[in-house]
Amino acid sequence: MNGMFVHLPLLIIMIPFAAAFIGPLNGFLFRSWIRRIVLIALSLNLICSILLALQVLSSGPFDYYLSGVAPPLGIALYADYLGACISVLISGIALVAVFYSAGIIPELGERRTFVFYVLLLLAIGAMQGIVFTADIFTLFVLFEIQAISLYGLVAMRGDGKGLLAGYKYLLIGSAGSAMILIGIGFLYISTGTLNMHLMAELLPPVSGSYTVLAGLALLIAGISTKIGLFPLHIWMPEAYAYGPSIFPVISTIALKVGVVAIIRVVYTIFGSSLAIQTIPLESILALLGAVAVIICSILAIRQVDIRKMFAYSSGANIGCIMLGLGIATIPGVEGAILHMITHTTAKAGLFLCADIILIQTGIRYVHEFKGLSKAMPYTMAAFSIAAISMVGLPLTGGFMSKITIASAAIADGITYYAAILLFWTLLSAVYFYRILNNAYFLEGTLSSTIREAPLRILIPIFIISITTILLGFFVEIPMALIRPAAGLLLGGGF
Amino acid sequence: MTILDSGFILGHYNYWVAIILIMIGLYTMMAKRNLIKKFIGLNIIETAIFLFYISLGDVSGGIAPIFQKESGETAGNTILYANPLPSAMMLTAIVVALCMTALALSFAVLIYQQYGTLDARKLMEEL
Repeated sequence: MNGMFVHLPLLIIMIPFAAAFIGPLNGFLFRSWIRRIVLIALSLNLICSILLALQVLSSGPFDYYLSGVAPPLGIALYADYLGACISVLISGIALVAVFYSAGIIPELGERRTFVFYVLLLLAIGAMQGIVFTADIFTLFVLFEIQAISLYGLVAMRGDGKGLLAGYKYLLIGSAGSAMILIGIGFLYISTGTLNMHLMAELLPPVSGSYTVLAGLALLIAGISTKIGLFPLHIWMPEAYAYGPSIFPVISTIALKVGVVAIIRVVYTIFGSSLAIQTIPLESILALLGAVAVIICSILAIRQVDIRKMFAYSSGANIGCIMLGLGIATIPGVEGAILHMITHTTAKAGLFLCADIILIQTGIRYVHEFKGLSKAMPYTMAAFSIAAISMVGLPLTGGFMSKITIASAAIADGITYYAAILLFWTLLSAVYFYRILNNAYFLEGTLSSTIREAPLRILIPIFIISITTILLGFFVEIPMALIRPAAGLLLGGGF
Repeated sequence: MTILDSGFILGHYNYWVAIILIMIGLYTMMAKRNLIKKFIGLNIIETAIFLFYISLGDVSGGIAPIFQKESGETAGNTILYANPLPSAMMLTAIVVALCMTALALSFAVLIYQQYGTLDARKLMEEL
């Protein structure tokens, strides 16, 4: 293996962290350079992620030992198909989001924009770490770095509602972190190691004990607060509604990273214990997911603020991913990972369009959208493409992932989950139809001063829309990584 | 050994202390209406977790894990050391908990400046 490629997992984690520390260092002199630093760091990061993905694809997963010390004593990173795939997703979407946002975010002002970008870099670095780490305590520490950055980002505008949303997120998230920490302690006393792969080898003899089961339950509950799985989604609507400009996009990536952590816990650590059926986990995850899908969609229909509506829609999509993971067959896990990609792309498009509309016109409620398609045709076109992918109509990425999960459910003989997914498609069509109907088919009383956004802002949106459509046609490109990822996670062949 | 055996309960008293403290912390988080008191509840939970981890590392009869050259083991003289890893982990976790506390208190100060109250029930109506 080429010498440089070996260090790629560490590089991918360290580039955003290093940039986050370089930012404040020169920031006192050249505060306006921060966006350039972020763009350069994230571009480098994306290049490294793609190189790593190609490397993993050609020569298989590999371990990276920090300081060269092997796992029982040292800390390991593990570059596998899943990590490489999600790493490209993280740096790609973050790069587009930063490319979209202006040099000085209007609602934040110069000084706060600077802090915003530094926190964003810290969050991205922590996310890249979570997808690659093979050490469960490192996972906890990185989760905390990510969480503290995100709490700060939510409250960044400094107004009352933002602060309250941030405090709510902080309380729920910290309680979740405490649960993760206890869960790690329980697994540590049962196995005596913190490395995920060693833990997986040592767990099967003790996997029926109450200690291990309690540890698993606490880990799942703790990570569920981070990903907003249904009963613990309550921080999401306020955080999305009152957070600054591109925070929802960053949070959408953070949710997927939390799902990767769940996959690591359930399939990497407990995979071999699941195989001998001591833990009825599949049914629990799938049931939680199905409940989240239905209830979050119904809550989304009731919302009038589109950012809150999209937050509940995220909750439903997380439920769908959990459902796919809970089916626990190779097609189910493949569908879940594919849905992580398609949902992140489409949701990033929706949030960016919503942000443009908010900045250009001040519109944030569904009933105000009347006649908007005439004033802002390109933005609404991109919005519609993302919405169509979210609903899951054919020719978009969302259709491919939903149909994969649904057919996996049918193939596994649990047809009612496929029925729930179909019903959910109907529900999400209802709330997106309301927006699109207002925008395209109703005459509005918009003021004539509303204009289309400038081209510099539209380009990132077009990139996301085109990616959303291309995912529907060239689904084999991500699937090249996802197939071996699912095969590896479930312990089967490729 | 059943779970109600008195020997079992007394033999695991460190776990019981941690569990009782976690329950007190959870109750404080849910029942108290003041935002700072809610966070104090979380701090109690975190402290309980630190105690739990540190008691995990203890080996009965073990000494502090500091290796000295002259006191190296000989054939009949085995030295028991306590496990240093949980304590090391807790150093990191204490730093994390401190960051959280600092962030939460600064949020609370700003919220008080904006709304003039820290009552969670009144504040959640604002949201």
